[in-house]
Amino acid sequence: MIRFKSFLVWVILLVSSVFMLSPSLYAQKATVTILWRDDPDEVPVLDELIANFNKTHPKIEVKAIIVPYEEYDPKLFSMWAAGTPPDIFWCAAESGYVDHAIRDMNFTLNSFIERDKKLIDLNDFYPAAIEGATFRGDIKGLPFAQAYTAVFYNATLFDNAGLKYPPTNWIDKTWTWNRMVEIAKKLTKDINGDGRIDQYGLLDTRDLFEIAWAWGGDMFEAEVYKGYPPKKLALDKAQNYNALLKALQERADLLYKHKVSPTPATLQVIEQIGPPLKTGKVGMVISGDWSIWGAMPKNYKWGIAAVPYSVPDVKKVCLYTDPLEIARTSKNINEAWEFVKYLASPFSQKILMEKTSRISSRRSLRSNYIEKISSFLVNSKKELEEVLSGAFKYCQEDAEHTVFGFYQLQSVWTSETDPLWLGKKQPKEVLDTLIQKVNQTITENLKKMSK
Amino acid sequence: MKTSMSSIAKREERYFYIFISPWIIGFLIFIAGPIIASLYFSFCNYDVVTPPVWIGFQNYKKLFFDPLFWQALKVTSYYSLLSVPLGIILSLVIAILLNQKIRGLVWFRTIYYIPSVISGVAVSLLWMWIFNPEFGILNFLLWKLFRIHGPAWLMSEEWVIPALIIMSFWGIGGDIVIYLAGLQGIPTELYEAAEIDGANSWKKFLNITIPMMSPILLFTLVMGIIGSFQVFTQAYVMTRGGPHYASLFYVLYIYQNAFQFFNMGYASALSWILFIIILLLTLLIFKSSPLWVYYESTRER
Repeated sequence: MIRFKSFLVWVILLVSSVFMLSPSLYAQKATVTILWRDDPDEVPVLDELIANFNKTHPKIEVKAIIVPYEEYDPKLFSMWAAGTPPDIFWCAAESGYVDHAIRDMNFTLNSFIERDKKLIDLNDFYPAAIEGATFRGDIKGLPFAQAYTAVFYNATLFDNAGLKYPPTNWIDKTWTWNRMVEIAKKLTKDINGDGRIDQYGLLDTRDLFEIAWAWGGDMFEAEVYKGYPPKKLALDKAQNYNALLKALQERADLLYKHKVSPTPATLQVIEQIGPPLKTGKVGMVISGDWSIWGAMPKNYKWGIAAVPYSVPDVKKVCLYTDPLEIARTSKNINEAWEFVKYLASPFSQKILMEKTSRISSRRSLRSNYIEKISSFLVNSKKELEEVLSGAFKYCQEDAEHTVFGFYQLQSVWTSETDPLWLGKKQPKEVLDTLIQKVNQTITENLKKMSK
Repeated sequence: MKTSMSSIAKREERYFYIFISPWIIGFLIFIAGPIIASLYFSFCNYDVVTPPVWIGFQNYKKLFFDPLFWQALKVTSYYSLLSVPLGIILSLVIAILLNQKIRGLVWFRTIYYIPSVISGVAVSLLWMWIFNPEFGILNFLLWKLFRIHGPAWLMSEEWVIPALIIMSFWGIGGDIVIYLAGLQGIPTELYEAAEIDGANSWKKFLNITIPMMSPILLFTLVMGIIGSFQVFTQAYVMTRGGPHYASLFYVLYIYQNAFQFFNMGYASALSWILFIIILLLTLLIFKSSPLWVYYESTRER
């Protein structure tokens, strides 16, 4: 019995010693984890880039943690709570880099960028993209890809209606909202004559803060976009209030007055078939460039155009930047930075751009992007250059990334505007309640932060 | 002799703990731990990333002034109040039909049970098509058969909950199987005796079937209420709580607070209130059960 016991002790010691030794065996290699969303187009490219990086960096091993989109934030936050955050993450889901920065989650990259400035060439990035990753003056992430806003249209439907394609010049004074609505009316059709519309002229997918911009207002004070938590909506200013009110009225008119946009119920049907533009049921879509991601159906011709003026001399659309952030508490910050640099490099961004539908955040790669999309768009390369230069000029970073607690505020105003889109309430009534409800949420969040 | 017996008993006791330890450890770490933690968090301000800050009863106080808490409670109660009794009645009726001696019964039983084995998300996507106001089969049938213009279902504040209640009947197969087992356990001599006494079918159903089935009805009622207060998948996949909070189920509201807004403290407080509500309802049903549940073994009392 005693012999058995001593044997047992011996075995336990042996096994545990192996475990004790093993970290030192691997100590040569620093492991860097990167949290990514389960995107079927992006993940294979990421894997390829990681494999390539690991091969050329024998002392670093990058490992990707892939989670479904809706689990991205819970995973990021819970890994953080467990004390084992991913070394690299980004605004892949609902929380923005400002949400991360206010919680002191991301490392400030200024010193790294300064040190490696030749290699990184910050000037090659779109200025709006870098601004869109800057928190109170500090750069918190390095962009690896972008999305931009434009008008995407089904050129075949334009041809069928005998219409000219919309302009690509962003400062074309004749390209106005009213003109767009007129075109939309001509594109809206009941093709089979059953009394129901089966082809809609226009789908405007812009969020409330974007249409407030378009109509010359703003839902937030300027400092809010720089990383300072909102104290209230800026809609107590008459100009902002009136702009959003007008924007809401115009959007509701698309549905119920002009009847050129699908109602929420119809939109749900269209979305079940596929992305609205690709279904051929919508003539024009104002959205991020995801409207032309993936293979475009060959039975239609496609085009892109500038976003029209809603009010004279005002033009601001949304830019969506994806900046890679490094966990402030990462044990391998230097190694993580190596990989961030690599993913944000022209080399990696070019591969990502070629193998997915993403546009690079580097200006030097714009011509490659134009080359790529010109293969399936009716626009000339010159026109595409015009659209893109405008999209990156008249833009501001997505409020989802730059406004603290944005997702919660958005969910409030999304619910509050439901009755408007369902044709049950008037814009003013909806807007007044919305302001009160969103402000209430903001106040509560501030109260929580002060504790 | 006595001491050796007790040493055997001791050894058995030790083995008992060794063998049950995986479960006990699992329970303590994965169930009891989080439950206690959530109680603690419910008294804290906690966004998961930064350490929790003790704020006393503030989350609970806030809850009473939160219109969305009341909305979530209203939506869930409305759903529960209709879906549970209707579900029980419907599944009992179908179980009785399936208990008849007709041909092809096995097939019918299988058909009614099949929906219960399909996952919630798949079912939700399927029903989104059925309920579609313009192209859905439900409104198509309403128009073809009755010349009624169907409502917008999931897109309508008034109809979204009735729609989800209709959808809940899709999963009654589980209850049907339980009822069938219960029905087959009722001694046939009871019915024969009643027939001799001149009872008609309705009287037999009311005075034999229902009392004999009452323990099973109690079970399905309790499970049904607990289940209906925990509705999540349908609302999450199909409506996201909309339109205009009309389908903001309680658990969906907890989920939003916990994993989308990262108000983990508030979400914990909401969870504890839900626990108390379900506990009280269950206790109420159990307390009332002597009035309406019949147990053969205790009939002398």
